Amino acid sequence: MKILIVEDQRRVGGFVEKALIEQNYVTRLVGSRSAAREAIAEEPYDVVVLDLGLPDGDGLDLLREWRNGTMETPILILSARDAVEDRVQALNLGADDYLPKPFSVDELIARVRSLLRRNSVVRTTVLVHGAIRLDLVSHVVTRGGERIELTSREFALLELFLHNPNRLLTRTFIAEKVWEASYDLETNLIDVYVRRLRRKLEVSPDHPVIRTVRGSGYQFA
Amino acid sequence: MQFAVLVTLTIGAVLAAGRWFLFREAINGLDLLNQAEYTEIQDRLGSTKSAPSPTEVDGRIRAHTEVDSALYFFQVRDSKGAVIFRSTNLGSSELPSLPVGVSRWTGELKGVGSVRICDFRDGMLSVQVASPLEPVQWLLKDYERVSLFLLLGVAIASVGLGWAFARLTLQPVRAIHATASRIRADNLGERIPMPEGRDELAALVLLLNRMFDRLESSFAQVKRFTADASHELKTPLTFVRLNAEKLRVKYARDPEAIAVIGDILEELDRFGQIIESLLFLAKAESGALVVTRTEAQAETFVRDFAEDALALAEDRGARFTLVRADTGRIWCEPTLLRQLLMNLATNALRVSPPGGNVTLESVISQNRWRLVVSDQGPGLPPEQLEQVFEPFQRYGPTSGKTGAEVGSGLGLAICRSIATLHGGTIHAENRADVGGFSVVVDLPVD
Repeated sequence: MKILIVEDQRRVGGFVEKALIEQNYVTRLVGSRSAAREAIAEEPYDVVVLDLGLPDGDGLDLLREWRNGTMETPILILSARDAVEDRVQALNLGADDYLPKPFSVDELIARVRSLLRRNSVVRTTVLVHGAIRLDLVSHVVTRGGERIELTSREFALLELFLHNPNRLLTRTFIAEKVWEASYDLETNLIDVYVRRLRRKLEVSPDHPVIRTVRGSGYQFA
Repeated sequence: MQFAVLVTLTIGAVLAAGRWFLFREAINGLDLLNQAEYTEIQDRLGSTKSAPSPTEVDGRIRAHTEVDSALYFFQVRDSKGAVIFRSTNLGSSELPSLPVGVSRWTGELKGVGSVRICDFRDGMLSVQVASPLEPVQWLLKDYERVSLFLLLGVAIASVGLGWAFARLTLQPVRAIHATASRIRADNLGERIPMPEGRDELAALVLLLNRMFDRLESSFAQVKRFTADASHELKTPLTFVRLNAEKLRVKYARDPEAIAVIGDILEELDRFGQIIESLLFLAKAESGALVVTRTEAQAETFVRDFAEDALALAEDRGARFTLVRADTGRIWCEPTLLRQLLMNLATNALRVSPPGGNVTLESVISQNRWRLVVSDQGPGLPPEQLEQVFEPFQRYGPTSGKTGAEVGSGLGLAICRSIATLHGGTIHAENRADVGGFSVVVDLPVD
């Protein structure tokens, strides 16, 4: 799996590159629009991680150029710009996902994985983790065969966790997937829902189902 | 309309003047006829130096006056003014004696009608020849009838012409109006097309276009500034965050280090959020932010929000009540509106006493959507009711609470921006009955 990283801030780019290499991906890091164009012309990539603020122009122009052409490689946008407006614009231009800065490495990896998986989806209707079983069709959740009643939000949150077991999910990511909204720190809504989910799912506090990672998010195990 | 009235009045005045001239000419014509007739009478009267007797006068002109009786009336007076001859067609009437110095007179004669009388002195006799005015009156009546029709036609035509003319000349003004009202923050590049010619209209268009130029460049400046500020602030933040995460992996077995790193990451989150909020406010308040409103059902929207608000309230040991009469469609940017309500609910829960009740009232009536979030907290001194919407203004007790519990102080400022972006208003008021205070959001439905 080969990933092209287009990021002009060497230090941020270096971090991204190292994290992806640790996950056994092959990467190439370039720092400008022209270098990105050359790299794409030379060889095919499985995912492109594209920063918008580049020294020789806007990353969105590059995105437009590629999508107007024949390039179909999944593109993940990294951006320091306003989350709502630019996000919509980037997605409209053909980006597959959008990650606002500052971001967490775990979240970047999670999003890259989900883009890679997109091409080889095995549609499943039942998600299982340990004793917990979630049926996407009948909307029934059971633990050890015992039925658990969940509200629609709690169900969506659990579904997200079951899709990403053992992975750290940031609040930004959760807010986007479950609420289709940008994460707002003023409310502790996500923490409240995680607490409710825990109460319903955990047999005892000694065996946590959802682990809190301070300052980052939650991990389902 | 003014044009039509003006044209009609002018034509009316011209026609009236025409009638006056026509009447005068007709009278002159009658005078000439009277004069010519008199010449014939004079011939027949012969010499009048020795004042002929009434019988003589009768003998000389009676036959002639009988022949012309359809056209003229005749009367002869002697030097003393006594009538010595009257033509038969006068019947019992008598032509009046004209005052001294007046030789022509128009007037009504009993039993005969309107006449024009001319007085001729001939030696010892005074001969009066009169023509009936009836033909002239017919002529004038015809003239008046034709004039009236003409005037009516002119009035109708000028109304139509005026309307067409106004449409034609105001066409560029309408184009200016249409373009100017279309130009908003999201299509500031559009300009009013320059009309042909170099008149006042062209100058106005030039002026307006220059104004739009300035507006566009100042909007672009705000956008560039926020984009630059965003990039410059968030890139180092990203770097710090990534480093902290690296340390967390490295010191995974050291609980003290993990706690410190957790603190750092949490504060970084807050910092990032404040930057985001400030940039939002900067853009919204400069008018550079474009909101794309979509159609939604108020009921569904409020129900979705209420589910989350209820969860938040339960978590804090408070109650949440929804009062609603909001069936109908609304036009809004759902993400922003949700954030507005969420900020209000979070604030209300923050100041609520344990077990307190937070209420959301959602009412649609007369094309307005009224959303009121009320708490049972301590309320606010009246002078602070306006200030709470300013950035970094906090209300409620803040001592002994952590950053997340107090909030950034930007929440209500953002609420005000969102309400304004939707063309609505927001204000706070103390609750008279139960204590605590309410924030009232008033939005147009479409």
